[in-house]
Amino acid sequence: MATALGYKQSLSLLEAYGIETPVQVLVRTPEQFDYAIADRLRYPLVVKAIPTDAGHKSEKHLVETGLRTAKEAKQAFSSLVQRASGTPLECFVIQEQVKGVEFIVGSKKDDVFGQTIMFGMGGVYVELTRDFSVRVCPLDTEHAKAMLLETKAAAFFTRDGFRGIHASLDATARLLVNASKMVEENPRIAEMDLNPVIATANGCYAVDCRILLEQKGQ
Amino acid sequence: MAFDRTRIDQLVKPASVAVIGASADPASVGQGVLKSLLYGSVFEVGGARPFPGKVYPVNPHHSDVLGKKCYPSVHDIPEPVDLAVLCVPAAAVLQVVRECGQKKVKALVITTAGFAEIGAQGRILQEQLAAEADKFKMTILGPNCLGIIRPPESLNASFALAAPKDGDVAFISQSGALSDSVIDWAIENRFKFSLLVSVGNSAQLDTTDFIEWCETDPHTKAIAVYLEGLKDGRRFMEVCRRVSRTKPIVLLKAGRGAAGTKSAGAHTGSLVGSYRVWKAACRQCGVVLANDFEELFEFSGALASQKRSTHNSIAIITNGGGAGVLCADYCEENGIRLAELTEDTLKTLENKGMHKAYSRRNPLDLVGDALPERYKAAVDTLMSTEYIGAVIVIQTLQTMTDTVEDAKIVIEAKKKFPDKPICCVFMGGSFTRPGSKLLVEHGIAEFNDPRRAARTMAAMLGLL
Repeated sequence: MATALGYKQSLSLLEAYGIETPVQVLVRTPEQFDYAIADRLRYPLVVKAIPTDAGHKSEKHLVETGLRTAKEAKQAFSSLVQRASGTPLECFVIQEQVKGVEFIVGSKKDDVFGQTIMFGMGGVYVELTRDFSVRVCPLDTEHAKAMLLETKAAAFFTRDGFRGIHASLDATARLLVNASKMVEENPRIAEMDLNPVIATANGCYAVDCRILLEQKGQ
Repeated sequence: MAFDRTRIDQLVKPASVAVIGASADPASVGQGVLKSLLYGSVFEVGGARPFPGKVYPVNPHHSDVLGKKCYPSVHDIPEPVDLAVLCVPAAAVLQVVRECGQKKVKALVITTAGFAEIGAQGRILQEQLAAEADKFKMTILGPNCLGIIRPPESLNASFALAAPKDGDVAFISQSGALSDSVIDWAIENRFKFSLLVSVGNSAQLDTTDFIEWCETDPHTKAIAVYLEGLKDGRRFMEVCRRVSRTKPIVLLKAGRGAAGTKSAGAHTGSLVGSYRVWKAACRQCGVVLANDFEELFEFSGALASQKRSTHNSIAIITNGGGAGVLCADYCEENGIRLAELTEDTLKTLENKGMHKAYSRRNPLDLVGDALPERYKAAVDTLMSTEYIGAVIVIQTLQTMTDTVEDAKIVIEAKKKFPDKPICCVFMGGSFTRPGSKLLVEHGIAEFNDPRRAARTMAAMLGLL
């Protein structure tokens, strides 16, 4: 059995390893929400409810994206509050929406080889496409790049990108190397999903994260 | 514990061997091991050699076995004993290990089953015998193993039915029964070995130890491994990363299913199965993954006799269009790139004499009536062309095909260009055999099937 690391703690862990995340604010009450969106964040926004058991949020419809105005954000928030009633929540998250290509970066502690790292195309569809690459940690930049380029995602890392959409190879490789370092130095992490990771022409951000820890004594 | 190669030296180069549990029963393991030592193999095989050192049967119930004086216990043997092969019931093993320790035996092969593989009780017994052996600083192979065969030292300390010939491939197997069948099959298929070891339950020495030992073994040029599982994957990677630089390692891994993909619910957990991790690990440490037993030995045989190359740009020479196209398909599937022949190359070929209807492209189709001269022109030209890193030579059987001459051309070219991998597809049966036999004798991989040739080429180019 494993336990999920809370969202706030997960974020500080990501930060400690230089894994970039979108600008975001964690709130618990409508008052905090109103204060946060007043003037400090750049639209469009994303609002999420974070359950304490950290299940897949989009499956539970606990995410609202593409919110362009304060009014839309407030509406989304109250509808989330309603939908989430009955689900124990850690907090709500308001994020600046990042526009780019969606990837998944994950890790799993293998019984034989220890921490492994995975990179794949496309957020939620990865289970369908099964287009992903795997390495045993740790990982250097050169191997991280090779990992990125052996999947179909390679098209996005070319100079012209895929259909004009370009993703930064350097930034994505850097995130992969940092994530690998993070799980390697924290052997209690049993599994991790950074899903989605969104890459732009010059950055790469972990938009959502889910970290599972081994139970103590395991 | 740091690896100590003298531990394996003691198994491989004993001056004297005791067989404990040597038996008069021809169907017993004890008699099998004794026969292997005394005659070289249980069944008569051409070339099997008796062990040149001293052999002592031990069994309190016999005064002699197979005409050799039999001792009641190791203590009764008047001379020192380097290696003891234990063929006694599980319940007696611990006592015998202790006696061997007192006798100052250096290494033990424990063939007996009934240890960790049967569950918790067996595991405790196995830990006890390992601790007992450690007390006396004895090496253990097994328990639950077939034994060890070291053809260069004429040592067959196993109950395998036949003995393999001297070669340059070390075969390290986690399965004893499979090793037995493999030896029989290998003899039939001209494969030869520098070492054949069945590690069994690995109470002490495991697969990784043997891989590490092979690194500096002068008789071993390539290492073939059959593995079901191991404990320390990181050490395996570290050792293989270093060893594979000088000695190619080929692995056949059993247990590829999704089993073991326990997940607590995250995407990555359910996506990344254990075989995907094995594939990644092998790639990271330079281990070639084989899909089946044929590949395991074809790859390791080819890698033992030819240098690897990273120049992924090959040429296919053929006297049949279909075979060439098929081979090109299989190459593509395995990540092999076909070189584009330049005008210069085509001119050189034409000057040396090509058929008017030859393909003028890669695969180079020499046309069905190709005599050895045309093969020679093509093989010599393409092997000496700088932008071509390796060559596959296909020969289909036509009325005028001279398979022995064609083979000689390949052998000569290989001598001239030892850095370029070359393998052959001499398609046919009894009529092509003289040619294919000659190729194999000269260390050139030969197949009846373009797919297998492409796979082996991919292994030699580091693509698998």
